[in-house]
Amino acid sequence: MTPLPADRLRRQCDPAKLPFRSTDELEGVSGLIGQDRALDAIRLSAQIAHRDFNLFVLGPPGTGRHSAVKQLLTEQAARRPLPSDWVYVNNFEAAHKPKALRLPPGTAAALRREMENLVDDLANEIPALFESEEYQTQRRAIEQELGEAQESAMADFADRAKAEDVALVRTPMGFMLSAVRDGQLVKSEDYQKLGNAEQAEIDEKIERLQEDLAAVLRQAPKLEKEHRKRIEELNAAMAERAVSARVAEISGKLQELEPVSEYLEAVRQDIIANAELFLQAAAKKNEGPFPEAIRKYHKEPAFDRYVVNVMVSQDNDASTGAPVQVEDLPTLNRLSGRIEHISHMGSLVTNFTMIKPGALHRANGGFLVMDARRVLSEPFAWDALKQSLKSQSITITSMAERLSLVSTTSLEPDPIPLDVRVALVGDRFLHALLVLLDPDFSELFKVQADFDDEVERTDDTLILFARLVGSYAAREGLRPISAAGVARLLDEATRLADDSQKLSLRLGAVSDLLREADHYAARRGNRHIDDGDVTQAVREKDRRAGRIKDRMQEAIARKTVLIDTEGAAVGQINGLSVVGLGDYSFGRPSRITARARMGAGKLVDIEREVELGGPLHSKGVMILAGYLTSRYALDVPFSLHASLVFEQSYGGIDGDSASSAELYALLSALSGLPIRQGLAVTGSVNQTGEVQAIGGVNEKIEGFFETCAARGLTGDQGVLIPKSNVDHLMLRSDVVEAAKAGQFQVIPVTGIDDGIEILTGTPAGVRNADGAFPDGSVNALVEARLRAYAETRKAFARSASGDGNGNGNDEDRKTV
Amino acid sequence: MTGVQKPSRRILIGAGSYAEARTALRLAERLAGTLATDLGGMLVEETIWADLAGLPKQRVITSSGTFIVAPSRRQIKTVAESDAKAFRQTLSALAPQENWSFERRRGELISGLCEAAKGWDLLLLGYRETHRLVGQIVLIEPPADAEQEARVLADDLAHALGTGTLAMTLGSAPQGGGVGPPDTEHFSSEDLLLARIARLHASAVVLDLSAGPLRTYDQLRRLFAAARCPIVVVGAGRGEPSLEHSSQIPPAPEAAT
Repeated sequence: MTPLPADRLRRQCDPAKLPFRSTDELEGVSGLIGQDRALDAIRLSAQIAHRDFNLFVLGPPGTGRHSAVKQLLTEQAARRPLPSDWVYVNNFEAAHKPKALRLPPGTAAALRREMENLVDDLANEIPALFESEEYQTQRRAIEQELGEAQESAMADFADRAKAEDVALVRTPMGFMLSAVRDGQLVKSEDYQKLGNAEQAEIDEKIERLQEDLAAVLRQAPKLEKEHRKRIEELNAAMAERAVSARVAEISGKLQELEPVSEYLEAVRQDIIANAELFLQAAAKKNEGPFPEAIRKYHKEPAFDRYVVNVMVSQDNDASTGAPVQVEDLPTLNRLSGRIEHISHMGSLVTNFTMIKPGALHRANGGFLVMDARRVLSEPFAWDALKQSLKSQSITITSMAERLSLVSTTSLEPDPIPLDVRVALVGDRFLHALLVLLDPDFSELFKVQADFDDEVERTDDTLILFARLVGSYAAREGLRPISAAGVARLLDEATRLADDSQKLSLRLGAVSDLLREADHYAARRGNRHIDDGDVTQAVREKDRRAGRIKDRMQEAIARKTVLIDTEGAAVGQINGLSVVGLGDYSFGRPSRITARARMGAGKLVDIEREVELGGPLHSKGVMILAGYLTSRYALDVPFSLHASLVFEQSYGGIDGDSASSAELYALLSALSGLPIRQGLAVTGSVNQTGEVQAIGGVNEKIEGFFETCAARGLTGDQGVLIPKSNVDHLMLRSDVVEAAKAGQFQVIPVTGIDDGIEILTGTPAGVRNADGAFPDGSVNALVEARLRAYAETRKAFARSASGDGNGNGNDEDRKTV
Repeated sequence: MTGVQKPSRRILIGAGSYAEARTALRLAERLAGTLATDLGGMLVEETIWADLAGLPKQRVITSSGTFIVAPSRRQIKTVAESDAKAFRQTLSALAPQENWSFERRRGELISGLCEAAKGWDLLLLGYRETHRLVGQIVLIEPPADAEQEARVLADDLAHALGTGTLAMTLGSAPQGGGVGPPDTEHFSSEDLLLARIARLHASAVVLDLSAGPLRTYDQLRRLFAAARCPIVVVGAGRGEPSLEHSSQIPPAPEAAT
């Protein structure tokens, strides 16, 4: 196999082929490129009228999901009608169950103003009415009538008593009746001197008249009750005259608001029944320098019962269509609203005026955009959102109430009907978890908008991409980008995609790079962002993140970590791995060694034995074992005991990208042929010996290149990569330059035989017609060694059996 | 802002029990608001009813119409102590600053109070309340040539209570066919006047004992029994010749000139 030419190592955009000199010549583009599938999904969710077609926008961060969702939904919202206003008003029959009123858009504030004016007006009018001579006269007449009824009864009694010679005597405890004889009150001692008949007569009169007096006195509470009733009726009649007239005025103004008329009737009746509230308020002195006439009675707590608590009010004049609400902090309270409390006399109290709206209220009739992870991480927010979507209504429940943490007065406001399209923005993993774990999710979020993270690199997409970054630069106030700068950015977008045929759509990363490049351009005093600025931004970003990579390369240069880049060694090879640190990753070489001896067909993966190897790594090792057992010495038992290890690896290892390297090391150990240490290997292998593509190919090559470059490039150094990874190559310029100068090679291989030939300089060998590999070939040497192990093992088993201890046989039976 | 500063008045509140005193205290509270006055309290423990109690079927009937057994003399003493304490406390709470005094006496109510009232501007005689309806203020109108202090007082009281004043005159019919002002009733005899008052719903009766037409303690006693409401008496000490001054409540100082 021959090394790849330098031009295959990095696909470079030629600035000369771009049809502009600078992005300020380009027409701007506001949308996204290559996201048609996702954008169509968003449009579907926004347009479809059926319920539960809520949207989950998934894709990697930085692909423009939030801005695209907001832009598209805003476009759709503008075509929708303004949604209704919603207010909460007092429920005069059950104050703990406030009533929700749906009003035409833009009318809630008018109703609130009218109610405030009503209270202010009546607070002046009702006291004046009750102070009028007309009212006072009627009230006095009632009191006089009832009072005289009682007094007449008492007077009648007094007359009867007097006629029967009985006097009414006052005592500290009440009244007492005493007989009168000869114009004098009969004392107790005088009574004793009277005859029995006279005593009996006195006793009878006193007993009877006492009953009469008690009956008269017992009438008093009934008369007072009657008095209260008639005064209340009088008050109601007086209040009604003022209240009905004023309420009728409001009804006239707001007659088109159907739900209001029922409410106003309830208000009318309540004010009439509670006219004393207005009298009490007027009796309190106005505080402050302002005249009584402009006193704002509606602000006093006593009149809270007539407040109109506006939950949502649309701006009729702005005519912006349905709302698009973005909730960045979707806590339970901020999502579904809250009921506030105030401390009063040491306890927490509330009323319907303390109900506050949440994002669902504000978005009702339109769209609500939230970050999925934040919704899920806020206690009870996800449950509340699902409940609201299921029931198509907003019910306000506090967290404390749900957890039964606080025992205090609370409210049960009317649920407000909900018609909202929710768009959650998240990543694919979260989407998968929700689909898997939450059965409600798929029911409620029927549309997924999957944002791609890369797009095909074609001439058209290159131009579109150029326009996109040009628009971004203009929008953000950055310098225009020269054609060379755009070309460099496009190459970097390709590098981000890890594929020379693609462009990354992670616009966040590209825009970060662009802004940093603009900074360097400004520092240089340049009017345009050039390729040099972009290159500096890339280099500085790598440098900032590269401390650990530098320490690792330093450890290799100082031979703290043993990596050979020259010479040859048996059973030893340079494998390549990628270390990921958040959004930064780099490659590093690792020494892999293999040792073999006669045994019972066991291949020991030391990483796995010590639990440092992940499942994918173990899988790779088992596959290569399958390759060995199915290819060599098929007519004898597999009698190998071999071990494989990543030397000086003290952390976990996963992935199967080193499985081909491990197989090469094992073949070297079996054949006794040394492997060139100037080469490093990456690629996974299957059981038929084909080398398969791996990830992070650029970082791996660059990692080994840096190790070799630190020691001096010899021209014999390079990396074996799977041929299927060639399209993914987008190597750094310094690697490309070294390859161009013949100092470093990138060699694609398709199978194990290709690779072992390059690594050992010996032909791999193909079985001839009689089934044998050619003498001296790698495969012949490997097969011969395995066959020899089998013979040795057979001889050992025979001798052990002759000794009679049977140990060898036992082991065979267990392991074969 | 301008206004007429009314002359300061000294009011003596008298009653036979705290239940009676309470109605008078409420009226005094209204009057104190307009007259800015000194207050005196006198509880007169009447002994007569204790002598009357003890008949087999005899019971005390409370204001709510329930029966209780007439108390023993020991219980009467305890009740009197309790009433005096409550009277004193209410009075002290009502009086402006320290301008109040209180005294207990034994004897007959009307004569006791009228004698003690010498030197006081007004005597407010309490009566047990049997219901809470606000009635008229009844004025026993003094002769036309007498001072009209009782008229002013009645109107003030009516205004304070949010009610009206009904004037009653006694004697020969007024000139002009016997029809007086609409809020005035005329009676040819005291019995007719008392019979009318007995059936009237009054919050208080106001009269000037020094100006007439009712002047004697006995007339006052009959009025008190018929009206069954508090009586506001102007010139109580000047109605009948007094025998002595109270030893504890000083006579009013001479008016400054």
